[in-house]
Amino acid sequence: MPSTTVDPLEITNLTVTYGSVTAVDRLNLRVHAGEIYGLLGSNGAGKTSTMKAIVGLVNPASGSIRVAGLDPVTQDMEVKALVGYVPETALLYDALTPREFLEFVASIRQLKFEAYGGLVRELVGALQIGPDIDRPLATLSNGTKQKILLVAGFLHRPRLLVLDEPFNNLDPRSVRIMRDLLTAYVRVGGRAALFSTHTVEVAERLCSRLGILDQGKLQGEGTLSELRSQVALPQATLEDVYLNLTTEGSAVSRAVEMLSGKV
Amino acid sequence: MAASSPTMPTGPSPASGEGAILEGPGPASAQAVTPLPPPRPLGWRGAFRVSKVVYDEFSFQSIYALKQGNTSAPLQERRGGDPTEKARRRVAQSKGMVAFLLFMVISVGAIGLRAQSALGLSLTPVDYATSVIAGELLLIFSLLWMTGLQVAPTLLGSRVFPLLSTLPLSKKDMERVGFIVFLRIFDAPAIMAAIYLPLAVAVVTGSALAGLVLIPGTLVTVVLSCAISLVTARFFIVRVSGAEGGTPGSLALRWVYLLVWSLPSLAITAFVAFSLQILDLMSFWESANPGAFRTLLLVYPFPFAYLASIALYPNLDAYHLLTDPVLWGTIALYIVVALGSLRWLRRAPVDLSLAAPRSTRSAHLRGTDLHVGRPSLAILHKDLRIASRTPGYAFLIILPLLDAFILGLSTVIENPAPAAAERFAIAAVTVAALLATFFGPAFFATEVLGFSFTRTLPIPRRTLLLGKASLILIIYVLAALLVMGLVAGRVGDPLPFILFAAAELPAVMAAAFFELGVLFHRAEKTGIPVTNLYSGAWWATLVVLPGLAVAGAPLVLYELGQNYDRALAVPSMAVTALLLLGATAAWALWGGRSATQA
Repeated sequence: MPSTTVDPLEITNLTVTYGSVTAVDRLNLRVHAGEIYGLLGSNGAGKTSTMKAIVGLVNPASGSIRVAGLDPVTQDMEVKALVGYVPETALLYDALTPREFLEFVASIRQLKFEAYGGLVRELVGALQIGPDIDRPLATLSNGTKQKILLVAGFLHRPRLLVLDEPFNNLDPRSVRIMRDLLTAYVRVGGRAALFSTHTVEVAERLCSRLGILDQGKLQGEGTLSELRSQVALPQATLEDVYLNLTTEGSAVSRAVEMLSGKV
Repeated sequence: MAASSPTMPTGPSPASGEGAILEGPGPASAQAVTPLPPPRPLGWRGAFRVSKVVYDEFSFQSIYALKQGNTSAPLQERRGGDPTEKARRRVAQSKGMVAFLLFMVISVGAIGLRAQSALGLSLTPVDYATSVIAGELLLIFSLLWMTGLQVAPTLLGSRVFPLLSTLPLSKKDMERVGFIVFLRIFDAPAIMAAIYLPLAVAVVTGSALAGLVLIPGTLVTVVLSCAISLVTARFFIVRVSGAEGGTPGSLALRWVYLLVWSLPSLAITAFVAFSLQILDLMSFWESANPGAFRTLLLVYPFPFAYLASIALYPNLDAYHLLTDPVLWGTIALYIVVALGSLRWLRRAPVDLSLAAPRSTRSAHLRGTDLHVGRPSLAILHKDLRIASRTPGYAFLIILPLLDAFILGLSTVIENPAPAAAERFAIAAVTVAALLATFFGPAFFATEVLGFSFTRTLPIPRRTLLLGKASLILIIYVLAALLVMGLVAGRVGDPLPFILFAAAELPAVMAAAFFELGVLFHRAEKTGIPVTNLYSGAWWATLVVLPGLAVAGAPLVLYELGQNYDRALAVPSMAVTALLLLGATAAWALWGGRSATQA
């Protein structure tokens, strides 16, 4: 049984490669209990690869991951029981309805009705997916599929939530609900969430600490004020900090110059 | 916009950046907006060029759609060559196989035109030739329909046409592209049917006129089968794949609809299995009720077959149909229907692809209670639910049952002695066992549909394997029960049959464990969690053929036992099956770590 005093996530020198491409390069980070840790980075920065390594979808080339002290490579079943994962793309069993999909997930996780019944009812009601619960996933919008994945991710009240761009397809109302829900969720039971996004506003509002990833490397980490200190910009917004720490800043200025006819 | 430091790049801001970018250099008023000229029509040549891209996408989705969510697939495919080229090649192989099947069917039928005396049928030569040629046309219709049912849903669901519709293409050009792609999907089988049937009839009978007269009937058959493929594919997308769930009634209704899916294959199997009985029936009908027989000759495809037969035997128009305007009227009607269908087919692939998906009835909340069961049962339940909305998977369940049904039915129809009936029943169960073994591993492919999510769930290897293997076992048991139900009144003592079916059961399970075990081991080794078994011949050879050998070994022993010592036939079969089950279960269930660690 994993201890609740151990950090929900600890990553040490993690490297993930796809053939000759290094997606994550010697990444170190730690997510403490009660935290929502935001991974901020552009497309291809290595956020999704990091998350896939945590949930066992890809094996690390080197380095180690510990989820509540457990190794996802050698103790995969135990880790999967502790983690709730919401993938970036809603690739589901399109032939199932949300109810059938949730029944499948609840059965695999061997949940008892008293453990999930009320939660499902509240989440389905709050996210307004009740009318869609018996329609095939193939006929639902991406936003609704994303909501189903979020419900499935919460179903077993995981110790660690791994959320890969979870708000991409959601309407503002659902984003607000999920934000409040996540904030409340991690406050108890030694829980935490790892949250990836490339939307600065979402990261700024939701996350207790942030890690800025660029080309597979962690370029900066901490609270917003700590990050400001790192770039020596005490008044900077998170967007400023982000652009300062990543290679995107110079690329943006070049593109602006070209489009405005200065080059 | 917050203050930027000297190190910050000049980022776009609402006040100065973005507006300036969109307006370009210089004052906005100086930039006269020149509307782009409307695009020129593509024409047929341009449409053909665009159709190549659409066809490639269709081929890719046909072969690789099941690999969605497979994170390692792109790397694996890179090692194996260009995946698009591979997909194109495999679709071509599939079409080639259907064309070859048509070649065989048409050849056998054409040769049959000369076999009346050998078969000893009392039909007149004209009625015999009419029956054989009509049977050929119906077989072509069924085969093309069955092929269309396999591929048309992929075309309609490929989302290629919605994407094309965002480009500056006219509706007419889109329809041309859609029509060409549709034709390319059917090209080899349709050409084989349209050309080879008239040719084979002409060559075998030595009558060029008979071949020529048959051409309109063959073309009508090809067009109608293509049209019905598209209609039924759309029906399945709306009524089956898109149907609401949540109640046992809706599940049952979907399975009823799926039986329609199996109609073409039922027709093919029935034609092949009962061709002689059908000819016998025609013979009886001809002599017992010539009036009804004459009416039958006016129903598609008989008028076309009758014309070809009269071309063979010009002086034997016993029904005087050649001078009957009703015959010519019905022929004209079928041709008009076919021309209308052809006209519809020109726009249907695009229209049906762009039609908004809709639910069969308005959704309403029936509570949020979930029925939670054991994990291995949940996998079985999920697969059955997926099959109930995926005709391709449902077919894998229905086909073994259908074949068992047809073979069981032949036992009833032929009315053999009890001992012979028992042999029939055993043959039917044997076929069902081998078919369940042949098709069963394909159910592993359902895992890939949502595998990127499922792999994050705590599913142990044993659980997944047991869930999958139990489905194969259920197919076998249902087939055996179906045959038993059909032949119960024919076999004297049902016990030997029951013992035979029970003795084979562990072998079917062993074959399932073996096949699924190979799939899991490969998944663990290569990172490819599953493969579409129909997309690679070598993989089918590695999985399915050895699986058939495992399931077939006890059957061979049974046959040997029949020749040497009948008392030992079933016991030796059972012992072998149990040994195979022990070995394969130990290897598959305990031979690795977890199923989801691919």
